[in-house]
Amino acid sequence: MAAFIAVANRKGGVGKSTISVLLAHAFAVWGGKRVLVLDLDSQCNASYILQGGEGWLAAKKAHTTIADYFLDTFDEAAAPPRDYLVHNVGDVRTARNTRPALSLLPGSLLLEDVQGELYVKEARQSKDPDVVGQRVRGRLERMLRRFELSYDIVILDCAPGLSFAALAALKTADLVVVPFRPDYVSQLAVDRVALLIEGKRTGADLAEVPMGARRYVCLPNAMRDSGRERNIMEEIALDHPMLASSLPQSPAIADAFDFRDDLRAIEEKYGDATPAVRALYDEIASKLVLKLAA
Amino acid sequence: MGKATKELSGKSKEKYFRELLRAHGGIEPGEAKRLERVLFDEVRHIRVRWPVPERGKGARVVGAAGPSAAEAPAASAFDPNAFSLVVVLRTDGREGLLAKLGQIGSAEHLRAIAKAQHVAVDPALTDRAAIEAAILAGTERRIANRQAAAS
Repeated sequence: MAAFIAVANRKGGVGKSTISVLLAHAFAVWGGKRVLVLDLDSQCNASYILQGGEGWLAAKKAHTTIADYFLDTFDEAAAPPRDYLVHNVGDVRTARNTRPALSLLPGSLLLEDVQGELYVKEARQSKDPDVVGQRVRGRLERMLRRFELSYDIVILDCAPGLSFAALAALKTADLVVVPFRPDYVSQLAVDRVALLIEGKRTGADLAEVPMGARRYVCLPNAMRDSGRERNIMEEIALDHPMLASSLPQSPAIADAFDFRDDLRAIEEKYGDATPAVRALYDEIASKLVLKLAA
Repeated sequence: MGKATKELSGKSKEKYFRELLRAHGGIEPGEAKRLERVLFDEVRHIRVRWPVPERGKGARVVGAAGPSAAEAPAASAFDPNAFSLVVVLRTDGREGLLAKLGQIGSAEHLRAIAKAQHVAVDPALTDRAAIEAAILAGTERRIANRQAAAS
């Protein structure tokens, strides 16, 4: 049974796709796990990082993107989910010089449109918008879960903002990683996404949920170790569970965003940021074990 | 940071982390233990401010590389981000923040803290107590703004 990790924040530009891919590489290479990335962001960045533009275009032409998957199988049709997956993606290799067990359900520029279509489809069954919304989200949750028997880790790279797919991902996830950049607006964004994840309306409601019982953890990204950044991090940590790990502002991580058509060691890909990536992987892996045990 | 810092490793490093985590009241004991283990395993050497400032809100762990040259204050320079006004107010209350501000050497430094942490203080204020009160009020507004944004 797969463990589901969502990487989410309603704010854009905080590194969700980079971190989704980074965790996918880490779990597949260092953890030896069978990993699937579901690209739920219509920017398709995770797809570009993992298979390059040409690979993504091939999936688009073959109608095997996440939007196609949602549209084709929404009515519980028999199309096997595996038909939509691309295997052996990414540009890192294992220690044995083989491709890691890393698969991708590529993103689609049309994901928002398709969600609108699904809403209209479901609206034929009910006139209550809340009921329709819940049903669409529920169906998407079931569709995300259809991969749980074939993988050890499923990573859900969420779009910024709210969508049925993002809500379904947050509901499905065993652990939600909330990356943020240490600035004022990111601080507000963490507060808001936390309410969404825990299903609370106000900060006071959220405060009643013990830190250890929350389904999310915050990850400081692009840290430059300035006093101001540390202050913002401390302020966020008063209200939200914070990972001990953080990712530094690093050209190596920025460059990792580029797909390269040759396999290399994960340590080569992440360069001098590798110790930080490794520490993050170790911490997330141990958190996941605790969450699943609970 | 010159003479104002000290390298720690081994037992002294572990003692430092243990005390640092204990001083942060918001960390649950179980979580503090886990963080201790992570820090013991992952950090071989650290350079910290020395002597150790008042534990808790002001204590700073500086990574091996330290702050960037642009941000690193000289040994005697004042660091307007040495502690977070918001964190001190929320953990130690109004009296705690006023006491902390009372330890700041000059009105210019108080203004520097307010500016660095985006707290508005009327430039016409000259009385030190009035500046401290304005910083307290501004910090409360900052917290209220964040709470409002999340509701």
